[in-house]
Amino acid sequence: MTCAEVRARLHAYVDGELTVSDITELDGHCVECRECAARVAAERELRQLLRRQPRDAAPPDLRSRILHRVRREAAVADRAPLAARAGARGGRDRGGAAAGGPHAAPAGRRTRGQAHRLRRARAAGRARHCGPARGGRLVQVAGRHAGDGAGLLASRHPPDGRASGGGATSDGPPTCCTRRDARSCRSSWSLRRRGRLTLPGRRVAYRDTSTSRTSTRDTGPSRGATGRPSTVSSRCWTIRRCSSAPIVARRAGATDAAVAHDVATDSRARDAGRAASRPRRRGGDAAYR
Amino acid sequence: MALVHLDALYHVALRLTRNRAEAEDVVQETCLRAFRSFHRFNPGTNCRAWLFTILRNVFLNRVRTRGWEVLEAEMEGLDQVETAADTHVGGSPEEQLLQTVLHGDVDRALAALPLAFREAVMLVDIEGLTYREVAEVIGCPIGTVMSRLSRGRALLRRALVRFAREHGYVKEAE
Repeated sequence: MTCAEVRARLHAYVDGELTVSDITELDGHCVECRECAARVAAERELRQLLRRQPRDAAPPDLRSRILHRVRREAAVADRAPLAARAGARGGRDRGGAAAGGPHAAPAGRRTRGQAHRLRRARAAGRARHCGPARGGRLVQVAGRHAGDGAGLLASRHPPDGRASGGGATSDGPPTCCTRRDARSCRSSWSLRRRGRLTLPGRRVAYRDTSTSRTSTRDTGPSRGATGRPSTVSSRCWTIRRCSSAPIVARRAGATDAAVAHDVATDSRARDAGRAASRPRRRGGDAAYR
Repeated sequence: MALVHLDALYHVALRLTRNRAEAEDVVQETCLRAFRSFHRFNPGTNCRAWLFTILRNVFLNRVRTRGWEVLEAEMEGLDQVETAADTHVGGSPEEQLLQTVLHGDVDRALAALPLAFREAVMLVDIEGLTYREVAEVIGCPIGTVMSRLSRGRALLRRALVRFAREHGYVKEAE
């Protein structure tokens, strides 16, 4: 190894970034060449000097300030349903930060199975209140079964006895958008497949126009407490989307492969990005009245 | 988690911003961002490097909101020190110098470095990150890190020699 080569590798040598064979070669050269040995020693000395510098400790009140902010943020994140949270932050791709919280807002109507799970969780002390929601209070149920961690409705008091639909927000009426055909569903599905919609476990609500029945379905890997597939069977749906929750739906009975095929063959899938950024229609709630 | 590294974050923020109040703001913002985007952290990788990446982005965003002048002023030094690494003077006077140099001098010398060199020197020499980690934090190839590091160290050495001369530790002739 020549002196020029040593100079080129000097810093990597001092920082321990060379391979063993290079280190051996360089060591051998330094034994013979005093000038290079001096260079290495000087670099080591500078490095030591920098490492010896006293470090400025963070002021104590900075730690407490940060803890306070983080706790406040965590409390807000715990209280708000996921869809509302994602909406408040203005981006659907940030919802992953909220992992661990109740992942879906409750539907206005509670099934018998949900009621049973809630009773059981309360008896075992696994139920945790997470704040108000449309139609009642939201309770998070911890446990090891499928759908655990989902939000369940602790009390039901719909204002007029009708189901309030899915995707409820914690305060006030939800802002909804209504889409009338399955085309937009496919677009959303394709978005989801392409990783554009990243939030798992959203609740979507369907309204079957033939029976005027509203049902909800949890999407994504964890389906939540009411995770059974929706019973929508009509050809034409009104799909209700709350807050910024994406519409993720497929035609009744269609398999994943069939949906994928639809997406691939549908030229509109290319415009999916535009479909997603389309401003939401306000006042879609009227469709339910 | 970020609070475990709070001192390191604050130290780096202080070196970057050169202002205590600003450094505190940057660290606070960094911790909040880390909390919000913890799901993006890749377990098994260096957590400190990840936090430094966020910190650097927060710092640069703040600099940008105040106008590009600061950053440009910081980057100006890059051209002036192209040959700094070649003018290395390896010898015993320097070693003696480094024994006697004052802590304040090192701070001044570091603060005088252009941002690009300062962050490389700081992350490698003071925080002990590997070249690869620094490259990820800064977002540049490892070769660039190495060249910035060698130039930064050469500049630092030069500044220390200058300060030592001012203090009379090293005579002009040497």
